[in-house]
Amino acid sequence: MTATASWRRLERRLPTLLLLAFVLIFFAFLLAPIVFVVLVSFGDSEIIAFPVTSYSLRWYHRLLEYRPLLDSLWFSLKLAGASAVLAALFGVPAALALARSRSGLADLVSTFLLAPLSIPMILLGIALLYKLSAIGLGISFTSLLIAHTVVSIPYVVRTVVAVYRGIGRNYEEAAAILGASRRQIFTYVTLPLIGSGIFSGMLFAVLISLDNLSLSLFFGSAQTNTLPVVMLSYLQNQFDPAIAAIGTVQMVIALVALLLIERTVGLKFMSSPS
Amino acid sequence: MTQATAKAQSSVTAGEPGLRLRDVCKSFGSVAALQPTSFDVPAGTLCSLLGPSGCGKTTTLRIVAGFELPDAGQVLIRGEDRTYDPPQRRKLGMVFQNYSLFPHMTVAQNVAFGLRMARVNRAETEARTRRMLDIVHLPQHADRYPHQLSGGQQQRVALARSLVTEPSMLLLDEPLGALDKNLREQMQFEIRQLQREIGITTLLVTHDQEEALTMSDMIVVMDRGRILQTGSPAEVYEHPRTRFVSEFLGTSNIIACTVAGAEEGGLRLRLPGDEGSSGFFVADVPVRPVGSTVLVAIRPEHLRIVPAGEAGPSEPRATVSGHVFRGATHVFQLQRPGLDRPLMAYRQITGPVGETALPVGAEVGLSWLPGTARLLEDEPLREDAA
Repeated sequence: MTATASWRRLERRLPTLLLLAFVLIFFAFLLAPIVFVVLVSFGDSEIIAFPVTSYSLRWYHRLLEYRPLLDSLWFSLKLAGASAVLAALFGVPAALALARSRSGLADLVSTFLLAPLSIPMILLGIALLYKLSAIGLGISFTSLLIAHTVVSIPYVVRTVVAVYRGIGRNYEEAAAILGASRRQIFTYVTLPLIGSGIFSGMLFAVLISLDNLSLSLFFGSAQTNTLPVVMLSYLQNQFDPAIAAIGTVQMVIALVALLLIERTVGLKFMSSPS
Repeated sequence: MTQATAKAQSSVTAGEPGLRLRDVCKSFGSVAALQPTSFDVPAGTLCSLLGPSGCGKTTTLRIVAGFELPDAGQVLIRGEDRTYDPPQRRKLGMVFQNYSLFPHMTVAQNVAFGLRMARVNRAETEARTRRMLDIVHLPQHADRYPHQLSGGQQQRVALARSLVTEPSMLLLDEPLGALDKNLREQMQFEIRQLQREIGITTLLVTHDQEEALTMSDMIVVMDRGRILQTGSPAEVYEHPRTRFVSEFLGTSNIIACTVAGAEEGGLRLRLPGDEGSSGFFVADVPVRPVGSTVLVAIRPEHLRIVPAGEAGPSEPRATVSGHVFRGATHVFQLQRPGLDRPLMAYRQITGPVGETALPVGAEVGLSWLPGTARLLEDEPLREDAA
C-alpha cells in the first residue's frame, strides 16, 4: 500500500527531477571553464594546468610587475567610462524622444540606433576605419573613442527607452499641470525617475567596451592598447596563469557591475526586447 | 498679484460658467474620439463625465487639461479662452487615476511642488503646504515617501498637491478607481465636502455610476464620443432619455410596448401579451402613432409585486422565476408570456425575511406608480419586438 503510494509519488515527480538534473548539468557545463580559470589564477604552477596542486598569489604579483596588463586594464576602464558618458549624452535625448513618439519614423531611427548590436564588429570596424580615416582621424584615441561610443549607444538607448516607457506619461503631465516648464519637468521629475536606467545602461556599455576586442584591434596603437588586445598578444607569446589572473580581475569588475545593475533597474531590462 | 490674474478674476462675472466647451472635437487618426461637444459647468459645481471606456470622457478631460489639442472648438475656463494654452499656463489642479505622486519626493515635497515651480518664497511655501496637509488630515506624514502610504493616504496627498496652488479648476481622472469599496465611499464624501468648502469648479471623469450619482451636481453621460444626456443626478436617473442612459445609470427593465391610443397629455400603452387590457398611461410624452412599438423603462425598485390573490383584477400577471436575497431587499426575476427577457423587481424587506419572500413559481400581480414608467427616445431594436 505505502510502497505503491511512494512509487506513484516518484512517478509524478520524475519529469521535474529529470529537468532539474538537466539544468544542473547544463550550468555545470557553462560554469566549469570559468571556475577553472579562477582556480588556475590562484595556482603555483608555471603553466596553465589542471588540477591545481598548490595555491599561491604569485600570478597576481606578476600582474603588478608586468605593467602592460594592468596599464591596459586602466586604459580600458578610462576608455569604457568615456565612451559610456558620450553614449549617455547622445543616447539619453534620443531615447526620450523615441520612447514617446507614435510616428513610424521613430521605429526607423530606433532600429538604426540599435543596429550596431546586430552588425558584426569586424564589419563595423572596417567601415569606421575607412570613414574616420577619410575625415582625417585615422588610428587615434579619438577614433577608438568614437568606435566604442557607437557600440555603447544601443545599450544606453535600450535601457532608457524601457525605463522611460515604464514610468508612463502621468508624472510629467502632473508636473506640467502644476506649472513646471519643460526644463523644470526634466530636471525635477524625468531625470530622477530615469536616473537608474541611465546608470545601468552606462554600466552595461562599460562592460561591453571592456570586452571589445575587434574594434580595439582596428584603432589601437602602442599608446592606446586596450586590455583584450594586450591579453591576446600576451597569449601569443606566453601561456602562464597571469592571463587567468587578469581574467579573474576582469570578471570581478563585471560581477560588481552586474550586481549594481540588478540592484538599480534589474537585469530584465537588458534581456527583454525594448 | 500680476496683471494677468487680476484680469482673470475681474472677468469672472455672475453666471459665468467655470468651464465652457464649445463644439470641441478630436480624432486620433481615422477614429473620432470626440464628436463636436458643448457643455457648461456652472462655477463652483462638480460635474461628472460618465460613460464606459472609449466614450470620450478621458479625451474631453485631457483637452481641458491641455494635454491634447482639440481639432476644432473652444475651451473656456472662467470665461477665458484657454484652447491653445499649454497645461502649465492653465492654472488647473488635477488628480490622476494612479495619483502620480512623484516617488522620489516626500509627501511635503510633492505638495509643495506647484508652489516651488511658481517660485513662491520658502516661508509661504512651507506654511501653505502645512495648511494643505492639515486639511487632508495628513500633517504627521509630511516626511514619508508615497510608497510608505496607503492608497487612501496617497489619494489625499494627490488632492492636497492639486489644490495647494489655488487652481481655477480641479480635474479628477477616475480618482477613486484604485481604492477598495469602503474607502471609496469615504473618499467620495471627503472629496465632495472639500470641493464644496473651497467652491472650486470640478470636472470628474468616471465610469462608476454610483460615484457620479453621489458626488455630482451635474452629470454628463457620454457614449461613443457623444453626449447622450446632461442634468442633475436625480434628473438623469429619473428621466433617462435613452436605453443606454437608463441601463448605465442603475438597472432598468426595458420593455417594448404597443401604443394603444393617444390621450390628452400622454399615451396609453400596452404590455406585450396583454392585448385585451386597457394598458397603462404615460404622461408628458411626444405623440406616437397608434399601433407602433415603443420602448419603456421601469426601474426594478418601482415595480411592485404582490401574490396574485391579492392583486387587482386588471394588473398584469407574471411568474417568479428566480430569487436572490440581498440583505435589505429581495431581488426577483419575473417571467411573463410575450417578454423574452425576465423582469427584475426589488422588494424592500421591512420585517422578518420570510414575510416578503415569494417562492419560485408563484404567480404575482405587477403594478407601478404612474410616472415611474419612462418612454425612451430610442427606436426598438428587432430583438426587443416580442
